[in-house]
Amino acid sequence: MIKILNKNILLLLFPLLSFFGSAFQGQFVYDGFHLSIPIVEAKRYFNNEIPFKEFLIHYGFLKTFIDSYLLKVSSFQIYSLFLIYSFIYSFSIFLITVITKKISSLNLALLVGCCVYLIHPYMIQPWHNYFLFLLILLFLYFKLFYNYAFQYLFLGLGCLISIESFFFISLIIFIYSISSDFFFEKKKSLFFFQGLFYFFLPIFFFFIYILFNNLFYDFIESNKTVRVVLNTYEFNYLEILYFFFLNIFNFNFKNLLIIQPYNLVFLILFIFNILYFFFIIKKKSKIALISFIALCMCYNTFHNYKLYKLSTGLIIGIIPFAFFLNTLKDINNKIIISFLFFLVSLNSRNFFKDDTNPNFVFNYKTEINIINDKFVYFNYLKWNKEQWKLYEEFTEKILLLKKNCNIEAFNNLTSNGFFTLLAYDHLKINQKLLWFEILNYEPNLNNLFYNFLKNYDSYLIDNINKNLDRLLVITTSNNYPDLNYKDLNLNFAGKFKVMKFSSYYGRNIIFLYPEKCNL
Amino acid sequence: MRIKKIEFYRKTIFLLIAIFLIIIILFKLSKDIIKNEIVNFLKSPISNEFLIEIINSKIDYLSDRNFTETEREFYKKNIFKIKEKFEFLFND
Repeated sequence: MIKILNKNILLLLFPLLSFFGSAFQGQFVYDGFHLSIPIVEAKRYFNNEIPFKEFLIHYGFLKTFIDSYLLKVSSFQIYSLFLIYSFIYSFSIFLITVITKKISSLNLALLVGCCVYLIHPYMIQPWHNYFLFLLILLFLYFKLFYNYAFQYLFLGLGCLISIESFFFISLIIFIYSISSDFFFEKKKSLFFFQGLFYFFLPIFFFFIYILFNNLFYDFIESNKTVRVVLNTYEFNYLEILYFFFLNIFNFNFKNLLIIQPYNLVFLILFIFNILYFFFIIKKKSKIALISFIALCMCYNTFHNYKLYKLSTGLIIGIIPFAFFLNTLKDINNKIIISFLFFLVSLNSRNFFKDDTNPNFVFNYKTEINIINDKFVYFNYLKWNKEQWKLYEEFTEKILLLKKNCNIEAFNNLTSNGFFTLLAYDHLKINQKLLWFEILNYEPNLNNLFYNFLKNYDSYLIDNINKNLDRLLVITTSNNYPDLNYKDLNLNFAGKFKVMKFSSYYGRNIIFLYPEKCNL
Repeated sequence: MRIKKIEFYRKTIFLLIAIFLIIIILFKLSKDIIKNEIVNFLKSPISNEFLIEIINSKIDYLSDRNFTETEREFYKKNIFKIKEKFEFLFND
């Protein structure tokens, strides 16, 4: 018994390494763009602001809902989200190894755990992809080993994590899976209706919420990501598919072995799963479902080919690969292929800050960066003195302007959402997006959010014009005196005074406060 | 006999690929370690002291020596450009 336990404990090795590594790296992450999104959404949600109407839900409603409660429990500390998502990712690695062990062997499960860890070792940011990955694996686990109807609930919940992009994919997976229940496992029609019920249950409740709160139009307006992304990059649906194949079938020798070595792993998995799916589906094997899901999950890299997206999607295809290795009769072949796959995975790991590990912590940061207790939101985070000073000064200036100029509202026209977060404690935020930056060198990103809310410009201009005497604006200096972007035209001169503030990523930041105010 | 030959080729190919991959991994690892050390040094407080010391000694050296004709032309051309570029600093 102890021997069995000891052997299975080994499966925890790589998930634990991933968890502690992610938790350690999370302390040093300084990203006012991505990290501010969940926390500001949570604050606005608990402040009875209406989702979709008064503030934008960036990913999916369920993600905002769960994040909000997790943050509330931890007194809105950003680092707690890091811990939770690190756990989610490491638990996903654990689930992959458990599924692999159940369909092959302990040794192969360890190999799979090790390879997954080497390819994408640590969680990067609390993104929805990690959540979806866990839900898909939970669905797979219950489908493969228990096959209760309630497993379809995980797919339904996944839709709410990222409703627009994942809904059709989950529907395809659902249709394939439920039809295989009928044809291969001879399930009765009651099972079909139960499955259907569980799949649509969360979606049904969500739409009840939307309709009762009269948010349908706002919800549709806020969920145009796919169309907007296509518009932004000027692609059509066929072209993004073409670019995906162009990326994954990039046979450039240098690219495959040195620049983007992880591509070799995913190229192997992609080709293997396509071939294996058509080979194994004839045998009515459940493994075909895993290959099918792995291939379907490639959808999230169509518009943005990134390692973390491949590692929370196509990586599932490693399970059928391990199953195939287990079926090989020649032990030498098994060892050779396993060892080569391990080496290819090891090669995909870089020991420097890059795509595979963007939160890599340099030694100097461990010596220089410090904790600051002044901000509850940033507890346990380790930033350098300049970074802390930026937020200390920001809070001081906000209080000074509020006191002397009777300022009530705040607009953030920079890309740093932490400003919105800190200002929210003292002032009213009257913008749907928590940031808005006009930068010539990030046109795609601006385009994305410019298109996202077609009324955003008039909304923003109205707010600024209506609140001239009570509004504080923070922006980069290039937006003064004119905020010019496409047909958005706003002149601040004569209405606002300028107060020089600081710099963020090399850009000068200024405060614009009412002309009437004398400091 | 034929099976033995196949076995031999299989092992050889495997070994060649494995060695090739191991070499690449070791090369990348050493490159990353060096890059890491360089970044750590450049960002550390010691490097500031070190660089300032070097710059000071160079300024000392520069002030003591006479310019050649080419150097004179070079500074004449560039220092003025730099002055023009940063003039706004003195005007503000």
